[in-house]
Amino acid sequence: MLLGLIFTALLAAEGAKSRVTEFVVVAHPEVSQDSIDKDALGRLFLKKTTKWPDGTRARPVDQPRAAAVRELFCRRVFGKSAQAVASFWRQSIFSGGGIPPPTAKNDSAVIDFVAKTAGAVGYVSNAVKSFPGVKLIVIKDR
Amino acid sequence: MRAKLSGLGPLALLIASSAQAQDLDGLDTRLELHGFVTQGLVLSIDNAYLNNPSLEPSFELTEVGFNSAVELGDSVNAGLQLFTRRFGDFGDASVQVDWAYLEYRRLDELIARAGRIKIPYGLYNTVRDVDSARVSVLLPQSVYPETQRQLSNSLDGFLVRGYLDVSEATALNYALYVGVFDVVNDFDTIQLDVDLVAGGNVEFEAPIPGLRVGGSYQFVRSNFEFNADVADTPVRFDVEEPAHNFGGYAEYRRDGLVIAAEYHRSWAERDVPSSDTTGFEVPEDANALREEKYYGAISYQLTPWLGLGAYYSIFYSDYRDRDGSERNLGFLAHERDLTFSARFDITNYLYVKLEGHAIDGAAGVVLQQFGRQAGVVAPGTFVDLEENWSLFFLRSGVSF
Repeated sequence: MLLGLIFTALLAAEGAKSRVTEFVVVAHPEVSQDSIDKDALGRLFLKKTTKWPDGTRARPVDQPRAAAVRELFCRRVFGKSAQAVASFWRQSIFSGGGIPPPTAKNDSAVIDFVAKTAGAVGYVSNAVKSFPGVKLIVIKDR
Repeated sequence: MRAKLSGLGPLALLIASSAQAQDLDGLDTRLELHGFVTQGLVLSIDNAYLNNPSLEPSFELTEVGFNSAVELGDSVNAGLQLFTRRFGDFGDASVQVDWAYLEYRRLDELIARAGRIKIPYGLYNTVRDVDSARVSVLLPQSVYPETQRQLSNSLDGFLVRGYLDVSEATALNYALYVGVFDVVNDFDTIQLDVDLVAGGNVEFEAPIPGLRVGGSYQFVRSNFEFNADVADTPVRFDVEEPAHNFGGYAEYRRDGLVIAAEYHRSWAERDVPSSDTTGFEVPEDANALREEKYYGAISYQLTPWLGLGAYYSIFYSDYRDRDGSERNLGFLAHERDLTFSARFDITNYLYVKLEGHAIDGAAGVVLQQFGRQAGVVAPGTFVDLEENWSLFFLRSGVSF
């Protein structure tokens, strides 16, 4: 099912704690895809796959661990809490499995990074109203 | 590479201070530094496990690791982890290279790695040292015995692995490896040399989100020299052991819930001389290794700061003689471990764990004393062991 341009994710438990109830996926303008499957997006952020379907290198960028939008993204895309995803990365880091995506300080830093970096993909909260130099990616949910 | 544990303090501060910031610019080369420190207290009641031969509470439960990983452009990665441990009788607090690799990743489906590599075997072998990423202190000891860590942790050699999207919701993980173990002999009675390790692992990410199932196979060719005093008589054997380890596993993770199960066997036909130079006769069945090990585990993250877990782990030293009657071993032939764990996350980086084990049988203690070669030893060698015993842990850790 195609959810639309904005990926809405309401969480019964977490939603009440946070003002962020939606996020938007942004990508570098040269990324050829206009939409992406939720599981495929998750694989890019877990670095299980490192390329877009056209073969170009994907460069995911994450939000700070304490950010509400990160919790929302993890719940919706991975079906896990941000704490559980952090645990996945701890396992990877300390077993030589690889390092997580870089972390930007906030929404505007994510957009700056994605605009400047070929193949980059990130996510920002619905509080963002302007998206200079990036394209929006539609998420397909099964 | 060896140094004393006490020398790690300044190194830890140096690495920690330089690992704080991550610059988003210049992503063609990314360097990260991470580390962990754990300290525990272990109390073994009725049988001495890990801290043999003492039954007193022991603080000899320390692990420290620091690692660095770098991404060099699009296709080359490298990493190194220095690790030291004092785990009861195991580990001498010297600093060793836990893993170190150079990786070439042109395709996600074919990734080549060389160096000292964590072995993908079962669900958790590659992450067995990552205490911060699980609720329990010990992984189920039937499949992941701490006393056998250096015979399963990492190899010096080569690995190829890959990740293949089968469909939008399913994927295949696979790995093949070959190399040798760098064995530091912890046992007084055995000098072990492993000259070949080869195997593979296949894992399927199922359409059900959070479910993965897989299987592992491993061949280990080892030679060991066994020396012991049996009934006050010194004996010595030189034994070859081509062993096959294999098994399957499944794990389901969803919303803080983790359910896992594994079943494995180890099998070998040993080349054991019928007697040593003193005329000591080898016990019947000593020329075979037929271990069976399995467990079921569950854990749940109740709140961001509290996780609870439990598992039931079973080990048989011979699956043809589970009750030990044929070998006259009784409760030394099995070990059944019921474990309950609690984890308290104080901050994102600091945690404390409590764990209790109620154990029936002492096959693991026998394994501790003689390694997998325990079958060579006469039953009368094992004295003063209790059938029912318990094990308690308090452990804290920091990782960054």
